[in-house]
Amino acid sequence: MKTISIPRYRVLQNVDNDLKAGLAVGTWNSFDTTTFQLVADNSDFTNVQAGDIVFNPENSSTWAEVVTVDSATELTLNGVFSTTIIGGATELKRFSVVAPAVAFQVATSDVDTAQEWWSTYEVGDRIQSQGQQSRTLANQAVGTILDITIDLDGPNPGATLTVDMPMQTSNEIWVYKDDITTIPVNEISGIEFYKYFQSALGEITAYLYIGNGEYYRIEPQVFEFKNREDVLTYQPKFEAAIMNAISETLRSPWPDSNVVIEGSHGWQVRLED
Amino acid sequence: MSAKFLGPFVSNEGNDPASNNFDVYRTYLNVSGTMEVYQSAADATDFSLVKLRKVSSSTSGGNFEFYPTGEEGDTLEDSDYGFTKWMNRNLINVATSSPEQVIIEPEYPESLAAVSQQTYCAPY
Repeated sequence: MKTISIPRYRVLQNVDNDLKAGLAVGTWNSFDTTTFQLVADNSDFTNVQAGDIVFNPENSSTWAEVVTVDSATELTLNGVFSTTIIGGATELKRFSVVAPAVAFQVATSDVDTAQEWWSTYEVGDRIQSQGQQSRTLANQAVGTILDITIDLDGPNPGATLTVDMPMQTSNEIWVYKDDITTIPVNEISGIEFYKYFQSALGEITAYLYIGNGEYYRIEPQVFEFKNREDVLTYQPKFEAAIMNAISETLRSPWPDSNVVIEGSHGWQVRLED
Repeated sequence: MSAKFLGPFVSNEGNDPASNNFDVYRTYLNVSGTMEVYQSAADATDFSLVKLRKVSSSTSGGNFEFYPTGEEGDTLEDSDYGFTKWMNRNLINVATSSPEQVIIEPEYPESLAAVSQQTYCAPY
């Protein structure tokens, strides 16, 4: 059977919040990509130090370090960091500042949760932060777990996942294990790609009709776009990812080939019958 | 028989996609297996609806419905505006495509009279 697949996420429970106090909802007024100076009038950088990590919480695929704290509202960084969601076009002004010791860690202080993480997850599993704007599901920046440690006997029991990109842990953290939605390509009777935008809210959905007569639908979806441009920019990538996966599995000489849809981490998947 | 997809067929519901509000469908149909192309008359003289149907063992199948001049548009009696011929041409394109081609884009000849194509996909 020829199939395509979409990975499903698990939500990590009892994650420790790593954000610095007063900087949970940072938005910058200006970010000079030549001098790397970031100005945020609504922030208080009193607790920020050189070496702290600055990143876009909805796309932490690149990040920068604080070089100097110029004032309570001005930082100079050592370079640029991502300022858009992946696939999107609209510049995001949100940013997170996290101490370097914890920026690349997802930790829990709950003992039961620590034991669950230790027994369930392993090095190499993919991990993703939902980010600051909890309704945006277009963040495709997916990290990898590099190390797992557990301490049940020390003064601060818990478990820590070390990851390869900074994560904002004040919202949901998703881990990809074995959960997956697999779609039999030869049983697809038709596919509708739908894009919608109205009243500052947009969505992109694929309706994959499986079977004829008695049918059901599998609906991969990315929604809660706030900008028209992001819908228009991301929709062709979304459609191409699905159609490329279909094409690749159908063209494979292997009769039971499976292709995971590229960039489908974080997609919502609904079943309608 | 391995699947082959014909598409995308684009239809726009409501507002102009160039505006701030839009509602757009892009549709692909798996055209492997038995296919029917036929006019579906709403009444004895209204041929504004043309269907491409995927036939299945339950005698119902995936439907593409095309409204050549718009769902509410004016149409000439007994005319399908060349849509059945156009669909047949595209089905032949799929049937004669190489094994490597599994997604085939529809051809739109200049002679096609469509001014407002609405496409629906529903396998019932």
